[in-house]
Amino acid sequence: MTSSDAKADSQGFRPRVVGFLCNWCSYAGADLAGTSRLDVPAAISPIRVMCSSRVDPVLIMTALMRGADGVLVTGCHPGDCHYDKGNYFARRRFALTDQILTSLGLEPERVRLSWVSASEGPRYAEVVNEFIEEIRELGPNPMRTNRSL
Amino acid sequence: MTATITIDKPLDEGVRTLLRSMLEKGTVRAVLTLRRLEDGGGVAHCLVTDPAALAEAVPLLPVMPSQGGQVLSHLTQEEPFKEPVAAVVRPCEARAFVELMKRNQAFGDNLVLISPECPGVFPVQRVSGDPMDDDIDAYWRSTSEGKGADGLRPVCTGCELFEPIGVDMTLRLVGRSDLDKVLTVRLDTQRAEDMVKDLGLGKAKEDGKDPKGLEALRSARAKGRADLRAELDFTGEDMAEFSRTFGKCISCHACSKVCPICYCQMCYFEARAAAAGPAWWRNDLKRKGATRAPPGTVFFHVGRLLHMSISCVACGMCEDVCPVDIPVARIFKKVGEAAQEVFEYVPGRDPKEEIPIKTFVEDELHEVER
Repeated sequence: MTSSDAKADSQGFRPRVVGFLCNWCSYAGADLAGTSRLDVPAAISPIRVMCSSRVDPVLIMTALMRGADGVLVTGCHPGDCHYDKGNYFARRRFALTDQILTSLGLEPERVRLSWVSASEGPRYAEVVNEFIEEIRELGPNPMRTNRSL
Repeated sequence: MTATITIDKPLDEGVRTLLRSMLEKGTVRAVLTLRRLEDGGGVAHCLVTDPAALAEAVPLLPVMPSQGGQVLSHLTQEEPFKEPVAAVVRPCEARAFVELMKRNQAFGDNLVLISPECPGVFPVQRVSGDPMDDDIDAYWRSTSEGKGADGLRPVCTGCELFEPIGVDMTLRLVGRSDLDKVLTVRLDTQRAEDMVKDLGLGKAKEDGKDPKGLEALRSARAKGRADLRAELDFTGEDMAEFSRTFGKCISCHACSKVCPICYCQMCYFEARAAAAGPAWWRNDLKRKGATRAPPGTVFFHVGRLLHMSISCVACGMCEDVCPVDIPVARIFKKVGEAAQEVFEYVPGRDPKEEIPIKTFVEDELHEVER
């Protein structure tokens, strides 16, 4: 257990974040964070995908509607994609998602896109810690308990 | 120079004359147009090869019983037309067709698009409802004055793309005082000029100045669009407006059935992958203590916005068919346009333009990276 782990705050809020990690860079980066014994909170549930561009906006929305407080999408840095251009398409998809969440008033701050390479274990730990702190500030996702959805 | 021809018959009669001569002279093999069906009552898109069957054609009847872009996609998705076919479709139908071509759902070869400057359409219920004759007279009167008619589809009142883009012939209607006497046809492509040359419908002249009424309708529509945008605002606190609006949905999915852009044979939201199995509702119950059954009603709309609003042409079919009066089309127009603006994309503007999520741009959108 680490200091930034998924402990409940005084209101009993325990953030839960879904992370989509690309197989070639970010998943390996997360792995490196682990083997380097860096603090990565258990509040993140990593899901390995073959490419960040595989993350259909609907998957992000599924996570949010089913109770995640935040969604992190990570991929190779631009120029480093295993499939050449996948992360550029991911960026476009993400920008689209971001705009639609904004138009619907659905807190776009709950989604984040970051580039993490296979050698960036420390960056992975930093991104996750920072994002979870932001989510903690935002509080629980209102969709989590909305009964009309 | 852009050429125009003038046919000395007005509106529907004028378009019928044009279509009939194209069929009779063999310029095209078939025409697609709205037509009153023989047994009375119904109006539908029909593909016509017999010139006599054009007697019942009502190409400019202000209704949209099905989306012409979707109809053309159904006709051409397996193979392109082998011989020239003329289709009279509204500008939003032509734009939807272009989007479907980009998504490999249609072929545009041999297709001659004829499209009116569109004053808007009445809700589709009117086709089988009360006689529309009085309203139609008023509709054409307002069109000739460059004003919007009353009782149109709500999205039509905010449509700034009522002038056709990328078609072969434009039927010039808006703001014309001679609307009840003649039909003015602008020939937008060389192919159109070549076709019309042999029809004996008079010599092509240079296109005149835009009538004042056209400018008037442009500004009326710009105002209408601003009004629509102001009307639906979900950006308030706590999602209340959002749940209130979509919460009424009964999950009939009619909006996606009539949507030209929703072409998937198997919709993700009707597939097993998205089916709300026991794991789904158990998870929901654990968090909420009460859940809508089956869950996912509102999710469907958000998912559809995420999947297709980038190509939404704001035709308004979805809103017409909604049995519980959710302003679906107005929401899709507003949310879709905001998304399209991120990529400076106008659906249906140009068949050569890729859809945004398939477009590669190296240096952009750094504001979403963190």
